[in-house]
Amino acid sequence: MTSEGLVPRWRHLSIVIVGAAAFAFVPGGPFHPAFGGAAYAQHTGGSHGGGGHDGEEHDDSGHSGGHSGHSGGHSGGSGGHSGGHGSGAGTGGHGQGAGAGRGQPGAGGRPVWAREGILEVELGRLNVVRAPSHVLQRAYDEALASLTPEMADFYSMDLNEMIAALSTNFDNLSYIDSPLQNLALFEDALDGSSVLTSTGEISNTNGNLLAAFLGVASDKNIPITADSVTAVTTILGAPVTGSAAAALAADADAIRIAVKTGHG
Amino acid sequence: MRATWTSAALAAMTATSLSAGETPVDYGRTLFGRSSESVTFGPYVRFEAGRAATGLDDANWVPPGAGDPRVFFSAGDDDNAFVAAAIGFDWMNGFRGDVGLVSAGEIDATGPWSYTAPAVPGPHADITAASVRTTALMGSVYYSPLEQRGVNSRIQPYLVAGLGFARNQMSDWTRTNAAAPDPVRSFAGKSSVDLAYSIGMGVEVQVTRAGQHPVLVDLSWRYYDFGNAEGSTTPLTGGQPPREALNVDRNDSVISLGVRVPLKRY
Repeated sequence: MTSEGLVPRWRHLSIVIVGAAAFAFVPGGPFHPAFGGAAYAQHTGGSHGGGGHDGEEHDDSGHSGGHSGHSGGHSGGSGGHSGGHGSGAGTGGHGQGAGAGRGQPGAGGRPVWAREGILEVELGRLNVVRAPSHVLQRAYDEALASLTPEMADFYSMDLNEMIAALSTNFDNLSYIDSPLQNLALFEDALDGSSVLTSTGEISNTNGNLLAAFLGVASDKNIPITADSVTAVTTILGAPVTGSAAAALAADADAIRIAVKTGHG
Repeated sequence: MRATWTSAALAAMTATSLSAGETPVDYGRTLFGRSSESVTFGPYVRFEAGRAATGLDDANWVPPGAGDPRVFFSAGDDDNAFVAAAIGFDWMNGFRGDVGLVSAGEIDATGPWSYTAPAVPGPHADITAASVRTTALMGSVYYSPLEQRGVNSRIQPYLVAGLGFARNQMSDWTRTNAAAPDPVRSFAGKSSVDLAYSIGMGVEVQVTRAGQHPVLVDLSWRYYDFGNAEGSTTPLTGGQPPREALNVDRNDSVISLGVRVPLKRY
């Protein structure tokens, strides 16, 4: 290579290197300090598109918490399990409000669940709940984009019907299988209302839908316990604890077992 | 030819990009009637194949004589097949990066002499046999502005920049000068490694519907500078070695179709 050729080539190369570095380190880029672990802290509930929940609702103090009177046909129900997740204690449900939502950074910019710690519990597939908020948002959008009328039939079943269908008619059922999409829908429903019921084509209690989302998302061989419900919901910024967690865990675990039975 | 290709590719990319955000395909009724790109977070593989318009610049050598000038050649441009395979990671926040192997094919590097430095009247030798084959290992960073802004469109335009190393293999090369005592002399080939870089743009479209394992197809244009290829000074036919072997700078303008598949589905 001649010296005449070297100068423009190194000039071009410098431009490419500087440009690539700028790409990588701009806010939101893969190597920007705010990316990575702190990305969990970016989630503020956001608007989940049409019918989605608004993050500001999470931040209101004195959120009434929970929703009463689940009319699902399953025994035990899970009414009011979502509890309050505003800055005050929930008043309508069993759950206890536990401060800021999932996305609000705690001390040092860490997400709340990282600062306070969560229970030591084996989550298996549910670990994907730790995905950055923009990934969970995409999963939410994808779930809604893939929701067909056939799936509406499944999500309109009560818990006992879901369990029976999953156990005995698994291959002919149409529902959302992706753990991440289920957890995105689960997160959406944690405020007491699922976007699925907003179309009018799905009629179900929020408790049934929460159990279905969590049960399908779960690892088939890892039982869902009250501790795992508390862990997942804490990561999502809306902790469900106590008897509400136990009730939801029982319902979700029944779904998990039904999927395992049906899938073989 | 190269200008036509580039113009056509840029026009296609622009047209496709302008339609980004709209629903490109109706996959049947969904309850919410919306479209969304699938979750593509995590590792992925990518394959691409296309056509490269290759240019060889600054082709020259310095003959054996102490007073001989540097002789430059008009090495012809040509088209080549181009293939690449890469493995990478998609952060799904507008950025993804991969490391790939690139094969830019073999190009003929022959040509008549054009001028000398310093200027010395000819005739001088022409290069009548030589070729350059290039492979490269390159890391690339892709930036999708729409995705970064949270637009989960199935069509995502992007910019790309790459940096890596190219292995340039110069074949045995021959210079021919009918007026010289030795009209035809050949020298050995050689491989050399040089820094390589690339810039480009493209449009990626998800061809699978939401809920399915995503498969993404892209149309891209990239400019590659693969650095310098240089032959050996070892004579194959006896005689004095040249003071500098035949060497050329290689660059490629590539239009390609690629397929990207996430390895993991969450």
